[in-house]
Amino acid sequence: MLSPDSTLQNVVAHRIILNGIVQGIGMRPAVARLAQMHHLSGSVSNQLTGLLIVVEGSPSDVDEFRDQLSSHFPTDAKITSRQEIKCEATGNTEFRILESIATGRLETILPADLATCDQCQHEYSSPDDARYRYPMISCTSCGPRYSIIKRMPFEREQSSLKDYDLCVNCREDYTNSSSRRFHAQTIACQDCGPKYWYEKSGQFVELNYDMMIQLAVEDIKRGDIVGLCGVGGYQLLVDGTNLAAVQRLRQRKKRESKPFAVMVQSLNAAEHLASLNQIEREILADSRNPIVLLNQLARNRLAREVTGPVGTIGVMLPTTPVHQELCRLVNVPLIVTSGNVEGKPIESVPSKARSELADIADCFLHHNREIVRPIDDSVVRIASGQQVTIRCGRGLSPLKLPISTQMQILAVGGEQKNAIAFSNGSQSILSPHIGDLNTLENRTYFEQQIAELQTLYQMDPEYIVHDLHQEYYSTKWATRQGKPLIGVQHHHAHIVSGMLEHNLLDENVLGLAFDGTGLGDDATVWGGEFLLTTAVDYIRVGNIAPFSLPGGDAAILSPWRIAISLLESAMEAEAASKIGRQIFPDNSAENILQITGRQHLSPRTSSMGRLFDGITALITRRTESSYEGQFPMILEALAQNCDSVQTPYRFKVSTVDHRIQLEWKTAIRQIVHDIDAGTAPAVIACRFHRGLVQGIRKMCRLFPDYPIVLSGGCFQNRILLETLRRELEQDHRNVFCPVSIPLNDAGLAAGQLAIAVARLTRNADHNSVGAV
Amino acid sequence: LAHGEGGLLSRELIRDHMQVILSDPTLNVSGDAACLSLNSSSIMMTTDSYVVSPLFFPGGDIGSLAVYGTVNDLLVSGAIPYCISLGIIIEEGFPIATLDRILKSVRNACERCSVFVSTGDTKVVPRGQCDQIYLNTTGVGIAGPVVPPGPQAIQPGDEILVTGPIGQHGIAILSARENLQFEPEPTSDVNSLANEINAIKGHMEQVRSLRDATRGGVSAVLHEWAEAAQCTFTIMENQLPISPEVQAACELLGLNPLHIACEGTMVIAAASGQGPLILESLQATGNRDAAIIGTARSRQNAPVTIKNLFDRELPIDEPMGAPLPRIC
Ligand SMILES: [Fe+3]
Ligand SMILES: [Mg+2]
Ligand SMILES: [Zn+2]
Ligand SMILES: [Zn+2]
Repeated sequence: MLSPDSTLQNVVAHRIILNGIVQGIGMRPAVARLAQMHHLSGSVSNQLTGLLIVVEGSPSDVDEFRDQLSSHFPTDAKITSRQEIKCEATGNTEFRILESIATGRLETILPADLATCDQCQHEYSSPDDARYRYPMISCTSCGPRYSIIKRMPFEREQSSLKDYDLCVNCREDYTNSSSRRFHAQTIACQDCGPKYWYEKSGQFVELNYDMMIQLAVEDIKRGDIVGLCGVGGYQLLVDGTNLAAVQRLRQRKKRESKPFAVMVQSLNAAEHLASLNQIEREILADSRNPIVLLNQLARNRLAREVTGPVGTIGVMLPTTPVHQELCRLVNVPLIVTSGNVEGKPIESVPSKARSELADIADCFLHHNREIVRPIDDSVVRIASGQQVTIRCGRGLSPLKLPISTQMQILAVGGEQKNAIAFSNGSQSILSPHIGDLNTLENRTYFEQQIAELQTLYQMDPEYIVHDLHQEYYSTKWATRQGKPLIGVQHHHAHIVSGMLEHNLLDENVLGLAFDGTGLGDDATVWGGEFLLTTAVDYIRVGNIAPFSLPGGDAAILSPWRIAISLLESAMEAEAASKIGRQIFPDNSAENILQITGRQHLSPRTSSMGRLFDGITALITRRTESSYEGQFPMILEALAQNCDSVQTPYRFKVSTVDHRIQLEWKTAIRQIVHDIDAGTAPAVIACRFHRGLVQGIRKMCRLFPDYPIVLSGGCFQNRILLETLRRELEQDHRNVFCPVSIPLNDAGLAAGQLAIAVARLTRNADHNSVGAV
Repeated sequence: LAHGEGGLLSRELIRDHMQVILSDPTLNVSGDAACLSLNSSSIMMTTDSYVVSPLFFPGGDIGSLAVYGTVNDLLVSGAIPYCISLGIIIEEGFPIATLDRILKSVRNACERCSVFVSTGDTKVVPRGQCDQIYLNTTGVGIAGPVVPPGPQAIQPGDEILVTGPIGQHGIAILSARENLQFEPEPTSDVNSLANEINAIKGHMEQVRSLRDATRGGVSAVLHEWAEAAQCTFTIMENQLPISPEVQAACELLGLNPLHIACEGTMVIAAASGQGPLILESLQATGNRDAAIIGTARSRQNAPVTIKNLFDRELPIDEPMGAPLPRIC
């Protein structure tokens, strides 16, 4: 037998630190398996600073391990850095997965919640399996993560599964390196894990799983509304083919006409609702499990009230076996909508859901796995073969941003669809969707989110970044904190969010920021902006020709007012009034015409979104908007229905005050002419889209040397985005659009953060130059 | 009018117009100061300047506004108004006839609230240095028997009342200035609050705070009080007294009547449970639109909220400047 000393002479040790997405995805078991394969001793552990691997053994074994390591990572791993250093061998003979020590600043990336994987789903439906029909089944590559983490690193003891002691079987799986659940932190079964229960009228409680599924299925078939606690919070489930049930849901949720998303059991079922391309199929089936906005088939089983006159439908596949079971047994598309009262955050606690949703849900499927971080479903769309993110939630959040700085900075985003972004000095994150900050509950939620993320990421901001709009709640909150502030223009932030994702922060780009409204630096309302942009600043080189919003916010809620304002600009007052009365006989065009010219009663805007609003009102004779984005969505649906090629309307480019302007007055006159001539709304919508794109293309040709970044909520319109991108690419332009960062106001904070970092870095550089 | 340089012309202006029209005993003395004999050791005083445009509007004019505005500030502070001063700055070229009209309006308003103009001053400035005419009034009064303790005394559970319809003055001014046509025409509520104060006299012990809801409207008063009392006020939208014409104008203009100025309506914070009694007294004296509009609660994360017609509670934010759209 060799003495320990002589053994050590043939032994080398290496220390490896991996960073990126390395926790909550089965990294440690994978590493342990590989180490054991190569007869290495040592350890692997989750640290706040990343994944720490120590291996020890013969030089050849260690080298093989190091070579093979990256090919043994779980598929969800994303390594952003790998550092290695030789260290002293200890002579230990065991390889161990160590409990983590949580100290210092969080450097690893929080894992996202993933939908149940195929293998788990298979086990769920295999009668011989230990987890047969266990609805909370999970493994190292699927299950809840972000929603159940109390603190990092990601360990069972730091999650809401802490109180569920493993049964003998689960412990065996957990410790067996050949098991799929070797070191799976969320491991559980019906004997030892959290459970579902069914509740009706606050009294009837059913604990038997098969029974409760049967009851819920009967409820849904009957047209009742089921409150199901999912991964990130409660969802309301309703039969999407039952008109009365859908109407009841709308009435109870006080949600007049905003489209609902549906869940179907398979891709095949999705094909019956909407046309899908390959990328859409892939993203639907992805473990991140977002709602995907698809082009709805002209005929499908859904009650018309599910989406109303818009052409898209949000579709998602089942998240967990419970969803799968309900979809399969009811066998119709199920409406799945957030379990909240409009204007309040999503419910996530059984007792509170019971009281808050009492007037909405007829029964509940609760579970007792505590939701630590409620998180709503994500929404994406595919345009030009690329993902466009509309809501960043479960599966996509928290989103790591490619901003590296040692400064700690908090960016508080906008007012509607608020999300925040921050850097804790070692990583930068965009938070999950928070909501519209116009209600008390969402304001409280906004403040709680900031506080909780600060604790989780160990962040204490040195600077706070905000929008220039003084009336945004986020801005007011920022100014109350007593920290140095950095104000960022709304559309600058939109463009930089796109630059950020495409590694363009060091470039000059031509940014096209098209959205509803954002405050400009000249105290007017912007929204159709052409900005020559760098990470620190911008020059507004062009915009949509301004028009007035009669009554400010009131015009946004009642877009027929914008129609009147557009008519008045495009023709004589007399004619505008006459046409206005014809199109909107029940409204007083005269009253609106009294105030269109008064700047302080009718703020001027260059907004693209508002232009869409006004045009839609003209074509459809609709007067009131009942949810944000409704009018542009209707216009897009109309254009989508037009299958013949149409002559574009004329949009001229002019120069005003050294800025180029996109003029829409001729187009308005052409639209009025077409309406008079009885042209189909779909044709008008198509001619409008085409003309607008031609006009934008002309504008872009005036700035030939820049890559183009498209951002802002208007680009949720797939026709606009796809045709514009195609035409610009015909002019050999490089065109970029945000992908993972939402391109609407939910992405503002990411842009704000990048701009702040760029400005502070530049200032620091200037100062150090000055000091020399 | 070109009475800039003092001397004879100024004296004539004062004699022929100020004194004749305002005709009160002290102003006849052309000394530099009025001598008041008040038998109280507690004198209250307030001042305000009036630069309203247009000068004449449905329901009133700059003259009546200058009297009622200052007198009301005394009244809601618990004072019994005694007299006011009157400072006038006139733009060169301003028509004498219009000046007379305004002075007559001052006189009428003074008579209606039993005060007199005790001293005055007039300056004429070159064209363009002021907009037609500005008035300044300083009010002097004697502290009344019960002076409300003020907004710090407001407790959760206290009730909030208004004595009349809200937003009348601001909408009347805006409509007149912008030449907006509404049917019927919005009329300013500019008036003395003496009747209202009189009506609640018997309940003064239960009143925490009084305020005329002038600039910024009821919302501004409640925001200020919420800061002082560290509480939150919740308004019931369905209880707000709003005239149809103000409602129509606010809808067209996208304005919230809670932010619009009143000049003859005050806000009352009354001890919990006292609201109905005060309301009864107000209504008995002809304030048919008086209403209990809300209550004070422990501090929430917004100082003022409204329960809307759909029973949703929403924050009322104080506008920081010109209203610009926030909806994205
Ligand atoms: Fe925006
Ligand atoms: Mg005053
Ligand atoms: Zn799995
Ligand atoms: Zn178990």
